[in-house]
Parts: sequence; structure tokens; C-alpha cells
Amino acid sequence: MKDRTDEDLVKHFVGTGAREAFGELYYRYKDKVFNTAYRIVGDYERARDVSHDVFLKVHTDAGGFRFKSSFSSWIYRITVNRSLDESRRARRRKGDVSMDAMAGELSSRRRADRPEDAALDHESQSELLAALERLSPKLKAVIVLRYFEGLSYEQIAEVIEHPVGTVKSRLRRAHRKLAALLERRGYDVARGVRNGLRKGKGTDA
Amino acid sequence: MDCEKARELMLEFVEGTLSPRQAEEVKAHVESCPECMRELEDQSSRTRALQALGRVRAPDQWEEISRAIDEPGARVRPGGWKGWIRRWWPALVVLAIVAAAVVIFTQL
Repeated sequence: MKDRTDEDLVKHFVGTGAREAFGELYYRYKDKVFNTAYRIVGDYERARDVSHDVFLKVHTDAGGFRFKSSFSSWIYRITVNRSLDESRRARRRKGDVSMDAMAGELSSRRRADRPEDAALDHESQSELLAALERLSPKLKAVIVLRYFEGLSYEQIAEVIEHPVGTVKSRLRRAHRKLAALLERRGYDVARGVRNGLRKGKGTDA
Repeated sequence: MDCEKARELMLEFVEGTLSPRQAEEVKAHVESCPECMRELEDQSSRTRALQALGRVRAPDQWEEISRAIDEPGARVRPGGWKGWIRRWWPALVVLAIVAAAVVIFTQL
């Protein structure tokens, strides 16, 4: 199973109902789906729900997958759409979800193991995450796909079903907003990055 | 290149996705414009900081997803015409009955 492409696994699973093919797809994508959802909805438990729903939808709708885009783009698209729905729902439920989401972020971060975060100090992480939390879900989605998931502009365009130009303009808008939010909070990103890198070097030594 | 154009291309400059010629033009402008240089440093720091946030470890939800799949109604939905017929068969039956009734009624 491990050496088969995503598309082969989808065909195998749709054709035979093989649970192990679906399981292989699950383990290939669980981190990508969960992380995308987590960064957009901003809460660990809600990201779990989104992740659960995404894989159920993939399971149910795989028969209709026409291979016009890659499986990867398809599952990211389902994740982003489901996360945007969840964000809208949360906003309607609570009026303003930001304080809640930030509290959720803090509790989630205590629970989550974050070895990759060594390049940024704790203050920088908190400041940046708090600013990210204030972005609209659509702007947050392109930031997540670009910087957390490492997708190219073209891949993001396929996921959100908009031209590459829209992806670039949303990223620019997201950066402008982040810059304004961080400035309003009086936070110097460059200093944070320098501190983080120094700390990282110190740890290595 | 003016400041407006340089700032429009700055994100791609930092991410290394510009053509060599465009990158050279942005570089030349930024080197002669202290304000754009500051903007470029900010952009670069912000991008590096975002990339450094990294990922959280996802929980393993396979058991719960696997259980949910086994529940009735969570079967794979076939695509194409088979899927279409399976979704719309009640409406098709109603339509057929109405059509038959109209034909019978008009022939009476």
C-alpha cells in the first residue's frame, strides 16, 4: 500500500471498498487535514471535529471524485471549506469568537507537542498567533496553505478554486493586515525572529 | 521601478518566486529607497516567523472515523450516473407517476 499513489488508493478503495486503502490515505493526510483545520478554526477540539467530518466526507464522496485535480487538492479543498463553515458557525454562535479561540489556542498549545517551534521564541509565537486569529477566515486560509502547509501559489489556486492572481492578492492583503495588527500590538517581528534564531543556536550548541 | 510596484512584488521577491529580471529590478529599487528597504525587512521577518510556527501533532482519530464509517448511511456514495440515479430515484418515481397520470388522463 505504501508505494501506491493517492489516486491508485482512491480507485482501489472505491472499486473494492478496501478499508486498508482508505486507512493508508487517512495516515498520509491526517496531519495536513488537522493542521489546516486547527489553524483556520483556532481551536483543538473543533479542529478534531472538522478533521473527523473531512475524512467521512472523503469516504462518502470518493466515488464521485473525477480526478480533475489531484487528490491532495481535493482533500485540502474539503478541509478549507469545512473549516470556513465551522468558523462562520462559531462566529454566529458566540458573536465574537476571538477571545474563545485564543483561549482554545493556549490550552491546545499546552497539550500539543511542538518541537518544530524552536526557531521562534514563545513571545513571538503568541504575538503572531494572536494576530493571525484576527484575520478573516479566508485570509487565514491562504496563509495556512502557504506557510504551514508549504503549498505553491498554483496549488493554493487549485484548492480554493480561484486564479493564482487572487491567491497572491489575498496573501498580500493578509500580510498587510498582519503587519498592521502586530504594529498595533507594539510587536517587532524582526526582533522576535532574531531572538528565536539566537535561542535556536544556543540550544544546538 | 517605483515604490508602489516594488511593494506589490515584495512578497514574491521574499519568497523567491519572481523571475530573475523582476527580482533584479526590485533589488535595485530597494537598495536606493530606505523606506522600501525597511518594508522588505519587515516582510522578510514576517514570512520567516510564519514559516517557523510549524505544525501541531495531529491526534490519531482512525478508530473513531473507522467506527463512524461502519454506521448505516456512511457508505461510499457512487459517482456518475449511478450516483445520480441513487440520489434522485424518489423524484424520478414521482415524475414517472405524474407523467403516466397525465398520459392516461388525456386519453380518457
